[in-house]
Amino acid sequence: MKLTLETFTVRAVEAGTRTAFAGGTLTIDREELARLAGDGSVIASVEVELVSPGESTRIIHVMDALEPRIKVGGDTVAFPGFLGPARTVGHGLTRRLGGVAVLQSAELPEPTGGILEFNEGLIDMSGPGADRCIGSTTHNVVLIFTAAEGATNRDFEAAVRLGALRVNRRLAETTFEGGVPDAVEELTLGPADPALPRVAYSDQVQQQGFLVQTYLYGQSVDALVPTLLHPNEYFDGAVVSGNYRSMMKTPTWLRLNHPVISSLYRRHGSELNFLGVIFGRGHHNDHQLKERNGYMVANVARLIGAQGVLQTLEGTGNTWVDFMQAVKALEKAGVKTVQLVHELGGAEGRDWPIVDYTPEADAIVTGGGADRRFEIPSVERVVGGTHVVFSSNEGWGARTDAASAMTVSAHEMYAGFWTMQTKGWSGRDY
Amino acid sequence: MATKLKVVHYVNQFFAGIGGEDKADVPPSHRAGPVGPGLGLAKAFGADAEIVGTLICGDNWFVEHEAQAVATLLEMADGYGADVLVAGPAFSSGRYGTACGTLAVAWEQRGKPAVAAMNVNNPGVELFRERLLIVQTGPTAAAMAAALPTLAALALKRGRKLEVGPAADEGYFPRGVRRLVRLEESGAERATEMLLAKLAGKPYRTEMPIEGFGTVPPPPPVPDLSTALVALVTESGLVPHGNPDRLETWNASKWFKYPIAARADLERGQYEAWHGGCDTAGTNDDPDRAVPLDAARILEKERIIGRLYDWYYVTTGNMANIKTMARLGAEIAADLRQQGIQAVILTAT
Repeated sequence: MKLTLETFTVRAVEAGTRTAFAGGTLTIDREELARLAGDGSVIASVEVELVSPGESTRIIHVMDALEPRIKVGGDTVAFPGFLGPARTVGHGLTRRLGGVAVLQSAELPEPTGGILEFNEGLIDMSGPGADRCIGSTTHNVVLIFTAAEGATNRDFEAAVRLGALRVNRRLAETTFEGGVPDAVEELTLGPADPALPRVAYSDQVQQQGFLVQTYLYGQSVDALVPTLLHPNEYFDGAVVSGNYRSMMKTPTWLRLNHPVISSLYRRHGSELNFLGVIFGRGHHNDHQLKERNGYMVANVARLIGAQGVLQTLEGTGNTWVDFMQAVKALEKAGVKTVQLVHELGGAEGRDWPIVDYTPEADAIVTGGGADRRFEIPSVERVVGGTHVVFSSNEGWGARTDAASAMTVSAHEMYAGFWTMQTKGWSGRDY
Repeated sequence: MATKLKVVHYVNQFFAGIGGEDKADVPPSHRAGPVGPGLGLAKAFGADAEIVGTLICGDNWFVEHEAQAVATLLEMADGYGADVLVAGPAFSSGRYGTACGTLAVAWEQRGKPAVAAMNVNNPGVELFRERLLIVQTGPTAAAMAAALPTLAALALKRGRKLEVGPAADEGYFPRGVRRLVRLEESGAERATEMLLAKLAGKPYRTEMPIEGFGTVPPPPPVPDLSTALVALVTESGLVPHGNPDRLETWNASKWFKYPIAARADLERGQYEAWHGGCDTAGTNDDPDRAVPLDAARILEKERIIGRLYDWYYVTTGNMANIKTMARLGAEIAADLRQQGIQAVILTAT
């Protein structure tokens, strides 16, 4: 499988009368995009805002983050299962707009409760918060959706996702008007020296139910057992996030620009032989299912001849048990493992950093304590609304002016856990 | 150039050359300059620090006259005007380790830094590690040469008020706190490199050393359930409607008990699950599914259990602080014992 990935780098976004990309500037016709994002049914209105890195701006109520990508020729589409048939992607030619993200910002029309709900996650475009969230380093086209009267959460969530994907495709289409890519990558896992270590990536995604789930080729992975993906499939949007527990989510943007896949890919053929991605879910409902899942991860690894597996997880809490069962099963099968994880441990770092553990997990890399608190300053501009309400452990906290200075942790930041893992944060015993 | 640090060194009767177990009851004394392992320590300090005096006490004397030993030794130390106290290495010797820890903590309470050194098996480690920097050593004095440079380096840092790095880098026992650090490389790159090292059989160091959660041995069976007082305990967060006591939905710090004496079952609308880690719709629809009062009443009626206790116990088990949960569990268990409860039906989410 070979994918040619052409990158057109966006260096500025601005509003204009015609949506176009030229000379590094992405011009947005807001009315066109708003029309395209709407559905004339459960979405009452869409506003389009443009936000760039370094601004004193805070984006709130963010659901998913996308990156414009489109297939050129062939019989497949980017984001298969949503924008076209669920055919295997990851081959042929794909164009992407780099340095830009399409963000969905919305408030759900119906109340939610328990675990299946939206958690606020801030994107700060400057200051200390920018270092703990995804979305602060990209020029952002923010689509602010308002639900129609009487819309259900299920209908609205699906409409928002599709609306944002249509806008995302429209932006990627601007690369068809000429111009040359800033970078061209030929992505293939060609034959590697048999002496190199054979390595796979195990991606345990969050799957708990509506609002806290992951899509593979357009379908929720509720009933999925661990399967094998070519990393190129990620680059074409085979995996889409429907997880709105914002602090712990892996946004679609991050799956399209996956730091673990990039790290392994870059070393393929020189330092290692990258075999592929073992893709599966966590948060299974009982211990037997968790153990079963762990053994299935190990079985796939063994059958493809992996000697080592780099494991990550999305989410926290009970999904750690699934994760540690997989560690145990892999090591038992003779496959060496390393885990890349977040840690908790309380505001002071005095509690246990993780909730489950097996002695085989002797090589853990951590993004550091996601509970540690820090200050973020007041901002000049808020995009997506005016107030935020954070989930606290006593229910919902106070309604807070979104522009104000706050004391937060990665729990209040958009994809805070994964950001810490990818930006070089770590934790150490003192 | 920095001024030469003044160090006072504490050793027991054995390392002072007075004698072994037979001399463990010698009272506190002191000598000017380094003694015994202090000679090696002085070498490790080089020109950076000087051991101005050595404090000595028999291990038994210290343990049997702890307050007096501390007061006497600190008074002796005052005569030397030292900046830093170094205690040990005590290796695996329990009384020596305890003396080192006790003296060092007392010294630090007076506002000056101290550093000790012990083996992981020394009971002094668990007693003092959260309050004191304790250098990790091998089990016996054979590990002296390896321990002294680490001990000297840490004593210098502390004496000069320099920042002390992570435990694994500096060689001391973690003090039960994890701090954030910022590294050049992303987690993904570090993980790939660690995996390659592990595959190549090269050394690697986990960023999260875990010492294990321990195990809870199951208690013996209840001798006669038909006469036993049985309680319902749950981590499902089921509380009276409105959550009057503000039980948390995650990271709980509290437990409560609520009366059920007058009830045959828990009626819908009167109770609700306050739990942020599972779908609570089913529990709210029928609260007995979290706290099975209806089923327990049948067991009671059929004399399968003796009697059901008049209250149920509840906390929330979700994204919780494990040390806190251990405390909550111990508190609930203590209350259960006090009430004479012999068995518990523990329901989890």
